[in-house]
Amino acid sequence: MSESQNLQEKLTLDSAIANFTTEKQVEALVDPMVSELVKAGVSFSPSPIPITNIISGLTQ
Amino acid sequence: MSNFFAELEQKLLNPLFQAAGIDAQQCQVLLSSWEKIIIAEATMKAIKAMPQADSQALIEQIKTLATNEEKIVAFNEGVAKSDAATQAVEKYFQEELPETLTRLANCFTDNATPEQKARLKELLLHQNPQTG
Repeated sequence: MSESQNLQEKLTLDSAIANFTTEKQVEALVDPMVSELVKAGVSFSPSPIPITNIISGLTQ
Repeated sequence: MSNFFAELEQKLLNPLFQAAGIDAQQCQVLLSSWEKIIIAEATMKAIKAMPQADSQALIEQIKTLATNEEKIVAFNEGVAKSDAATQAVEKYFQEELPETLTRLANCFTDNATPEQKARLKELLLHQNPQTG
């Protein structure tokens, strides 16, 4: 199995999010390479995400 | 913390956690976890979207680098070189993450008491007055 396939197998982050995981659980869930990059401070500067609809739905 | 995470926390996550009755200290733990999860997800999306040979080469390159700064530069350059990786990251933030946040919000509203729902609305309107 290739390394990228291994990484894919290890990641079940959606379920982690759904279960309000703790920081230690996050580190255990992600591949060590990704965890290392996250600790190193890899970040992204995405366009603003469309959360207005979510908020509007909750405030109706 | 980037503006992105600050905005996400302020506008949505903090109100949700506070309305759920989570204390301030635990809120910070959860917010930190969410930030790490989101970055890890975006990082993985980028790596998985690249041709396997490119992602393998990038991972091997990063392993050889000594400092965090060098690793971040290499990663960012690797992602920037790949249209597929760039698009995967954009899709994650614009489509998949909002879907996840919607599921989180629905999970709360499906299980919240009327008082918690009212508190959530109050907190959200305070942080997002334009949506009222």
